[in-house]
Amino acid sequence: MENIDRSFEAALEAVLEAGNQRRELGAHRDSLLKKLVNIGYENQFSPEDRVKARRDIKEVIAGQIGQNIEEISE
Amino acid sequence: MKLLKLTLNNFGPYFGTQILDLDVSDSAPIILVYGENERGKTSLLRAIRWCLYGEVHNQGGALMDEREFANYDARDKKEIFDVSVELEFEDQGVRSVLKRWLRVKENDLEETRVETVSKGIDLRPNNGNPVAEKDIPEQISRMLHKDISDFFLFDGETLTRFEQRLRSADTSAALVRTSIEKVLGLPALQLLSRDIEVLTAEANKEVQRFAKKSAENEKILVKIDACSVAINNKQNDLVELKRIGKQLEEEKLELEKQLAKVDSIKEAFHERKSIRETKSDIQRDISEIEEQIKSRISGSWWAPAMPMLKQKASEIESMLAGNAHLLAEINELQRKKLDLQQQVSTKKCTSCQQVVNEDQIKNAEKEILGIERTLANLPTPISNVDDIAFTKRQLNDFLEDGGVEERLRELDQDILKRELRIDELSNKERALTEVLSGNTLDIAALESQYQRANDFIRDSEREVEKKEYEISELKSDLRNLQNSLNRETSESSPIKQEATLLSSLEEVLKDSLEGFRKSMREKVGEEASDIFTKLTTEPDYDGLTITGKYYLEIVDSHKRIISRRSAGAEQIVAMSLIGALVRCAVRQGPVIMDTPFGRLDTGHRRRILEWAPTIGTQVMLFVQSGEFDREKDLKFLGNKVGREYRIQREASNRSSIVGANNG
Repeated sequence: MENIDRSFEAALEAVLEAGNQRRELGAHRDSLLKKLVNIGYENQFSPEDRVKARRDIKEVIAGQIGQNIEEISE
Repeated sequence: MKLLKLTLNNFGPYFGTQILDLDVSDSAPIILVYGENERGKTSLLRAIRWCLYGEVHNQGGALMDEREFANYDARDKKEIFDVSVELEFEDQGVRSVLKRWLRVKENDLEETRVETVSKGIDLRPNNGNPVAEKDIPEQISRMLHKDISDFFLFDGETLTRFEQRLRSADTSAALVRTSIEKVLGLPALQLLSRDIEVLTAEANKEVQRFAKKSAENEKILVKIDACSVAINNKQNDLVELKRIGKQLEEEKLELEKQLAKVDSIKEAFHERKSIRETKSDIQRDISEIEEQIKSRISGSWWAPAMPMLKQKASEIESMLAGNAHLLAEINELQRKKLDLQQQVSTKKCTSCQQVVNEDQIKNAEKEILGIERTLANLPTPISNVDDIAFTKRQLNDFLEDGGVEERLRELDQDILKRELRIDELSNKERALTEVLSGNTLDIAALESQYQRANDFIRDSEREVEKKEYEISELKSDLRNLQNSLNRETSESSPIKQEATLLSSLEEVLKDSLEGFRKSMREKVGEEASDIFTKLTTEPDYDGLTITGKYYLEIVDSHKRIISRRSAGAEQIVAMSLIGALVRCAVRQGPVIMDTPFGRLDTGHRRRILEWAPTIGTQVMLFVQSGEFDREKDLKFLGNKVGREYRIQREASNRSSIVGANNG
């Protein structure tokens, strides 16, 4: 798994760097971005992966919005 | 992915069934396969490629006709037989067996002498049901994608081709770069970015549906609609362009297949073409020489009389010379006579002016008489010297131009030499025409179609690029419009939040791609440089530096780029790139090197052998005695050799594989 880690780390670093100033992504920005990069790495090998990837992204987004709403109401 | 067992059946030079156990431990990952040239090392590599991808390219890069793999001994039995390759492997903890087969029968009318009766492929994981045939390429791609397999399964002879392709200006450079980026995991973010883009568009549509009715929103919605329509139209164009591009690629592939069929006779065709061109050039030379001869002859009508003219000229020459000599003698005698006459008349010496006596005067008078006698006996000088000199000059004009005869002879010799060369070439041409007589395909037309297809593909790629740029601009406009709409929409619905979040993520992903690409490129550059310094024997080389297009430059100890690279250095650079890519790849796979040491000297060979066990968890080296001497070289691999095989010759067209020194 060493090789995947190396690529994953570089991808995550680039995404976190790009998302650094995005306050609109909420308090859990880094965790959200990490979850998305994970989805990207798990689903990069075939066209069929796209359906699963989009479903997973929607779930992560829904979770994030839920979390944001919870935090605001608190 | 790790290979566990390879089973060949009537494949290439291997008659019947041959089994190679390939399972090795991480501590001894090397598999050595010894085999002399033409024994079947490359066939082993082709067998693995064919089994995985169903297609194999020859060393020239042309697609091979799979019927060529049918073993000749099996063909001689004149019965239907199977050609198959079976690979047992393990990936992500799951063992599977992949088998590709071809059922063939003999056909004398076919060039390859066999025709396909049926063919197929099976993939059976040991933890579930067989995979449906249509899904097998997908499954294989997940393990070791065809596009990136060149970095794992390669022929040492063609190793430097990656670097050459990267440097080339054509589309193949972009293809190699895309393959490299696939190895490095770039698609993980690229595809994620596209997925988020699609989801953003869907969410934005929802937001538009629920947008509060207001005059301002109406305006934005109209603009969004127009922008969406424009994007949609351009995307349709893009789909159509890509469809055409794919169709062109398929046509190109079909042409490649046809050209592969005539690969063996292509060389003869090109040689004949070149002979015809040479003959035509020589014929043109002959015509030019004939023209020169003609012009020399018409301007030199006297040429046949040249010997006589030469003789005449020579006679005139000696006549004038004799005349000049005679005139000089007469002049001298007359001058002497004049002196003596003066001495007699003045009775003084003409030179010292001293008085001369009577005896001396008498002697002088005698001498005068003697001179007069001599003068009277001398022949008369030529009176028309000027006329004769004019004649001589005229003759000289002819004679100066006069190497003409010799030159004509030389030109005639030139023609003869060229005619002999044409005869020689015509014989060769006849022999090649006989070789080609069975071929009904028009190779020239095929090649020109192939060239055209390549041109069309390049044009279509340019169009795609242009269209993609226009779409990205429109998308940026659309994003801005959508953001305006979101701002205007006060309602804080979950769909609006989703659209806003997705839109931000879309931008983050887009912004991160270049950073990710740069970071991976730097990693590859560092790894390649590290490998290069281990492999090179040149103390002045400091390492490698990578360009934006993944092309590697050698840097010396003064940080200067080395522009001139030997064939050996090219091979070391290419091997460093492949080693670096394997180290940085998102998926691990077996590394198979066929004849890896071809261009390398002993020092480099030794270093590569010492490095080989560190490339991956399974490294197969197909070597011949000229590049690997077991007695001397095995020690460089330490105790890292897990298995050894030897390909042995059974008959002219038949080889078999035996285990060698396997503990």
